[in-house]
Amino acid sequence: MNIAATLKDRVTFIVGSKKNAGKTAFLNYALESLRPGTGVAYLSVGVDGERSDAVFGHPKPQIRAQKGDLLVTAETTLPASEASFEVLNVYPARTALGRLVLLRALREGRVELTGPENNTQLSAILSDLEKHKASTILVDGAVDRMTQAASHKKARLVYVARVEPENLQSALDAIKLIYAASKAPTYSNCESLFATEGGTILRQGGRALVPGAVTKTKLEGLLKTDKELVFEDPTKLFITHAEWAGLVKKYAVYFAMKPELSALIVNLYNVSKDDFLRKLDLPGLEAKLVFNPYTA
Amino acid sequence: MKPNWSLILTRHNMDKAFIFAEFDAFYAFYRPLTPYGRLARAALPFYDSAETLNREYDLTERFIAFIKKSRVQADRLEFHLKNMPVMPEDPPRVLNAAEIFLFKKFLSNTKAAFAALPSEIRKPLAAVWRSDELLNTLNLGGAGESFHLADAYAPELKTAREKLTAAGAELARIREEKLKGICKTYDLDFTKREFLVVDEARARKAYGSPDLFFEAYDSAGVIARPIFGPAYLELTAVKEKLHAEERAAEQKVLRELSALIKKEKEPVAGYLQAVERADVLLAKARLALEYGMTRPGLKKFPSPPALKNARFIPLETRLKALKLKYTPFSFKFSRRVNILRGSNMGGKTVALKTLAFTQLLAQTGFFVPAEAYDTCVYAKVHVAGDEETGRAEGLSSFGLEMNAFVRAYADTGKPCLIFMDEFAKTTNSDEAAALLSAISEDFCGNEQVLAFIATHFARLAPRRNAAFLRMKGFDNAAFSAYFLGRTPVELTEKLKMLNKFMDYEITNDTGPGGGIHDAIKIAGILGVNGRIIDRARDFMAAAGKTKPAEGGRSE
Repeated sequence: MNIAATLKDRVTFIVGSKKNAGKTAFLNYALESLRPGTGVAYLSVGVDGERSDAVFGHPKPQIRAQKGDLLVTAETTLPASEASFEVLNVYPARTALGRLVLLRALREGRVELTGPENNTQLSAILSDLEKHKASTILVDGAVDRMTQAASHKKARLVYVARVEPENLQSALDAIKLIYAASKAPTYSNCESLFATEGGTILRQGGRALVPGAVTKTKLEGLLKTDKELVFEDPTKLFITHAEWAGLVKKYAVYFAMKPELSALIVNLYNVSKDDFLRKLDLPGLEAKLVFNPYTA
Repeated sequence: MKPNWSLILTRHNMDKAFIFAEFDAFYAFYRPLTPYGRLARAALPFYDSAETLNREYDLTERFIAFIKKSRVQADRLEFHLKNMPVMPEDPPRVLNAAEIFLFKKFLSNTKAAFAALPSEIRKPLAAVWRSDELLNTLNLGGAGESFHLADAYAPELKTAREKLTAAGAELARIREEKLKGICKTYDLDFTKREFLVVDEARARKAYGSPDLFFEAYDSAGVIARPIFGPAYLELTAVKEKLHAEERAAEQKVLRELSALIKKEKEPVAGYLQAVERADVLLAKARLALEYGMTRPGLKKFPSPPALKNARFIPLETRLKALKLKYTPFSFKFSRRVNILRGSNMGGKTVALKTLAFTQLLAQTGFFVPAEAYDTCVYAKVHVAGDEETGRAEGLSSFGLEMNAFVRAYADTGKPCLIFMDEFAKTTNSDEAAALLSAISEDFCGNEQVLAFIATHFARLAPRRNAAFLRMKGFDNAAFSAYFLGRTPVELTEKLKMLNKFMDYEITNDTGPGGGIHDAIKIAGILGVNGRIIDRARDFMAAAGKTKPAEGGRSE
């Protein structure tokens, strides 16, 4: 897969299966693949690029800004950076590390990324990045949370999975669910209904619009007369792949909006590629798979 | 940010008046563009000085003239107001680059905004630009809306950066050369990668190499990282030192720029005020043009209001959506105490709401949606009655009404406008009428009070200074000619019928005692069963009351 071509001129959210799945390493790889190029911007949701993991303390991959890059981070992180920056905007929302700033790198160097704390801030920043002529935008997402991908209508998704023998089954399940959901069709012109209807299932004939999180409990509220289900977006799915498979057998399932799945980055640890593919057993998915891009 | 409406209103102790007048429905259209204008909006100032209000109206008039005359300049002003950033609150002694950016952005937009204003507005707003020196200095850090600590600020900054660039280039050269060598010797291509995951069997051949460092990955592979050698490490250390020099030079520049900004504190405070005023007045002027609003005429207190085609915008908007006719409100009041009666759904409450809405707009510094509005300035505007707008807090509707009245009455030592809508309607009519008679008598004797009392009660004692008024109400003859036994089905259709035959104008009443008897007919139009309507009329006749109007019967 040509990663640069997949990411170019799009907004892509990089989301991970768990802490240290390899999101930031992939971001660095993606940025290197896109260089040299113009209009490349990146930011994170939460904190990234610090030297060591704030939770586990082990060394983390550093994010290296190159001259011309556009990036968003908190004002307090700037003095520690080796890079030199031009401030292009200061956003009013404050984070624990101060105001968020839009920067253009004037000289290369390591940088710590700190990003917006909610989808509203993120959405405003993405709009502003586009105003500043950023055409390829990469968002390093928070751990195990895909909901931020819903903050931009035309977003794409790169899912980074860390697969180990201990989590092999759950990782396979998550990958299958993401892939299957990416194949579901969209149901246009019903986003506004989700915005106004609160948390209750809205019915229009045999069609049920299910707002918010899709959980096993919520699905128990479906009626026999329901024929079509419309979910808000795939980030709201909190069910297993098996439960999804059961749903699509019984109903026609749609999403009101859906970030397109660009790639599944699989970082295998003590699991062989062959073993993984055999257990995955989902024809067609291979085209979206990228095994550890750092493999020699 | 949506303002906390209840918090805003609590400050004025007039929350019921603002809620009764549905002021928030209008206020939602009032949208200043800057953070400072939005703060002023959230404060909802209520002015009790005619002088202050007239100044506000004068300036609004000037802004209206400005928009009409120089649309392009007005749009330019709007553009720069929209671009105004939130300035750092209570800035620290040394500002960081982001904070200096905010100052620069504020100053650039302020200068351009002031330039867009005509002199007849600039002067009263004290919109005088005098910070060219500071702005020129800040502009060394980048043209337009950007800022960086440019080399131009300090020669030592330039020197440190030149050395850093040279060191960076040398490091890149060493790195590139090393990676080429590693690729050739070990067939490991680090292009676009800082490390590689290598199969352990393959990596084993390179173990002990001075060019590669290995660490564990998993049971089958290792992570390989290039070693760039002593020269690279030495140069990295030099680069670190140069970074420290650069940071020290940057800090010096930041201190100098912060001192310059601090010196400009007084003009900047003036700019903030002028920007806030320009923003607020532009928003008010745009509203005035959009909604056909005019300047209120402020007379000496006490001066009962005179309205010509005043529009209660919240209702006008709702009726427009329902495709119903809206009748603007015109009347010249002549007494301080006005007792207003009329049919159910005849517009008494709307008349009171229109008055409250128009007066609150006038006293919050807005033009009013009317062809003309003459009034005076009050210290307080209160509403008693209409307990739907109250909060329960353990009191019954009657208790809440009395509580609201007590609160309003406490303010009657100064010019006070009081609206009472169906006051005491939840208690027995005899006592309620007695209470209302006593209140109107008290108000008639208090020259600080102007009151509008909407009521159904017929037997209120007449007083000097009190006017008895009525809504013209239902046009029985026209309705009977049109109706001819038709039964409206949908609520909208029923409302349309009432709307069509209801005359929402105010007229002088013949005095106390006369009853208005079209409630039963209106109940009929709204769909109450015809047998019940007929029996209600029988009971009215048996009680010796005026025979209620015919029509409006449905089965």
